[in-house]
Amino acid sequence: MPSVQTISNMCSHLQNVSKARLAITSVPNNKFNLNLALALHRSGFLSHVYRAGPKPPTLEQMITQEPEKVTTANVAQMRLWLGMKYWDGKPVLSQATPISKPSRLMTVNIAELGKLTRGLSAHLKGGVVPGLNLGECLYVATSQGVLESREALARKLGGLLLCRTN
Amino acid sequence: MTRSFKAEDSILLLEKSEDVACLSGQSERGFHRAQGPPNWVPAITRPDQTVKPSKQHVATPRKETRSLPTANLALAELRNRSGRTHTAMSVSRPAARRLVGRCLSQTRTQPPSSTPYAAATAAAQCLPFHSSTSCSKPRRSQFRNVKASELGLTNADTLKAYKADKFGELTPEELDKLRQKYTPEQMEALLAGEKAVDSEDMIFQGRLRDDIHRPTYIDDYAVMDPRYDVKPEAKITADEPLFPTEQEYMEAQYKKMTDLATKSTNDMISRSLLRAMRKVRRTEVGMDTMDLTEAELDDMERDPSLIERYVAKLDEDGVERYADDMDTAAAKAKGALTRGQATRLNEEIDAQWQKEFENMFSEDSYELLRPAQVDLAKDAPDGLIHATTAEQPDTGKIPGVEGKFRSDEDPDDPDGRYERYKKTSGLPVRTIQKLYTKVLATRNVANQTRLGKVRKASVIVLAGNGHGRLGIGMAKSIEPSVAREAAMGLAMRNMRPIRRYENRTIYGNVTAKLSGTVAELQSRPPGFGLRVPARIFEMCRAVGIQDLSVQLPRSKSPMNSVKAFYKALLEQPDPEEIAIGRGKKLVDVRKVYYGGSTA
Repeated sequence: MPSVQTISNMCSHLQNVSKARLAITSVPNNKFNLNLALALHRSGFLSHVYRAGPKPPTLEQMITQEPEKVTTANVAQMRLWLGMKYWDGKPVLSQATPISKPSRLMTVNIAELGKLTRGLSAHLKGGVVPGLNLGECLYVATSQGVLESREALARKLGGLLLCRTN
Repeated sequence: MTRSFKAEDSILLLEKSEDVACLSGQSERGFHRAQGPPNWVPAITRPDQTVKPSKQHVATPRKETRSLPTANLALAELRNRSGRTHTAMSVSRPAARRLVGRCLSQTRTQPPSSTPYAAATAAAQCLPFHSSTSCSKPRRSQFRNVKASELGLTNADTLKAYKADKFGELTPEELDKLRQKYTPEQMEALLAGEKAVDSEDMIFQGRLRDDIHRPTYIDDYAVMDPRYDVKPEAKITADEPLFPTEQEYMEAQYKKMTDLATKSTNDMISRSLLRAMRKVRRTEVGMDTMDLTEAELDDMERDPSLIERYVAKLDEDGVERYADDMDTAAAKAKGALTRGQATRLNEEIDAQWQKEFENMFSEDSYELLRPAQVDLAKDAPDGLIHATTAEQPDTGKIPGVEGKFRSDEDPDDPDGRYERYKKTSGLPVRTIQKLYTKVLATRNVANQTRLGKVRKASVIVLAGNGHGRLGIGMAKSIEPSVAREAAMGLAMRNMRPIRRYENRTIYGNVTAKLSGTVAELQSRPPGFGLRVPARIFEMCRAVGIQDLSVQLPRSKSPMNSVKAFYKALLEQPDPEEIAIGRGKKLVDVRKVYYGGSTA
């Protein structure tokens, strides 16, 4: 399993970027980041996710061109380019808080995930996790990839708590 | 805190139904499609064409199959879509799908697209900016449009019958009736009009109403009807002021007084005549000949202008007719006098009148010649209204501008007590009177100058309407009452709308920090009540929040706790805004699960 540290780094980076009101940003290209970015994109937090080299891709490029093939030659150069969203002068993704850390991985089963999603706090092995507030999203790494808590519940899956966004 | 309340109270952001379907469906197919060559066409859309399945296809058995007609339809739709230009919104969706890993790929209910453009359009379609479901087809009328020809209204026979019925020629009897009603000129105009307008045109271009809502009147547009007619704009111009010279003024005044004197003299003479007539009536001669009653004579004496009404006028030629000249039947019918009777009566009246005159002028009686008070009053600007009062008559309004200016005084606030609040809040007095205001906290502050401490009272006041508007105002003054008044005005001016969930609690849980004070607000289920600090309780009452829990974990300073709570109320998350920002459909689960009952 890749380290959840990358998730923490990505969360901090996204928070910083939304505070700076940037339109596009990049995070290191790895599986965990990619899966989380796609989950965020599905929830509507990101406008686009595109894998490209060190230079930011243009909008046209992202729409029309397929991402560059990843080879052993260019894999070290690759980054994930994420489009940030803003509405009414405020960032759509303003908070991203990591939950698990490498020294304390927090996992939930379906019942506890249900409680969290309904807004109740859950007592997990690693500690107490407060329930979701209005408009919050919780991301869980499951056996079927990184899913939002509601998606995971729909598939009846528990897993590792990654982060919560708002 | 109970389990059920949380479930009820939380608002969940649900995925669009399409996305939910994607998540619950099979996930393998998208992955293979993404891995396929760019012009890869899946077998389900083109069943007539044999496509060699790739290795992945063999590895994963496909479960779903589609019937031909559906596929054809889908194909047609696809072609239509790919012809369109794509929108720039959520642009990288197709690209993202290519990156999708095995577990994250999505099974779409619509047929797979062969070009990235088509997929881009489809992706754009599932991210509308509004929260309601979009209508797939343009709305059609519920009723079929029936044409006149289908109803048989344009048949030649039907038309002819209708024309004869509604616009037939005028019969001679009808013409006669019209001639009785109208003058020859009007008749001419009517007939010319009949001739000028073709009845065909009346049928096809005009509209002869026979519905139940037709007007039940025939209007000649002589009178304005406020229901239908636009009020014509009245052009009011102020009269030119008239500044008479002294000469003119004196002449006008002289003329006025002369007129009054003449009128009063005439009246006096008439009265004396009437008195004479009354005396005559009491004599033997009068009894027989005069048909005026005592009451009528009284009336006439009171108002001499009535004479014209009661006393018979002379005939047209100015000669009085007597019974002698007429035949007896007519005389009887008219009740006319004989010439002899009339002469005697006149003589009697003249004699009495003479006496009255002598009486009148024998003593020095200016009183009789003085204009009556009523006449003077009539002449005053206000007219007869002031005839019976002792006060000085008004100088009167300036004609032309009368009623065009409103007085400054508010009828709701004659003392001007709310004048200040009206100015600061911009609200009408009645609304201000209904507002709930309360002093929340007072403290004494001092400014240290070289002359010593300048002590002042600092007051914080709330104002709310009990239905979602709340304001707080803070003011300082040496006089506490002055500070209170000023703070109240500021609170009214600062009133802002506070969003309330179901008009009883707040949206979600909010935390606001002001200086060292942190206010933690939690929305609560119906019937929970207000478990909040006292000042915040007052604020909740003023804004109309019934269910709430508030903690102040840190500093509980009066001023800052009030301000922090106000800040938190204004910082509530807005589900609608969140939904728009994320491009998601939003559903209040509470309203879905409990049949929309929010009580």
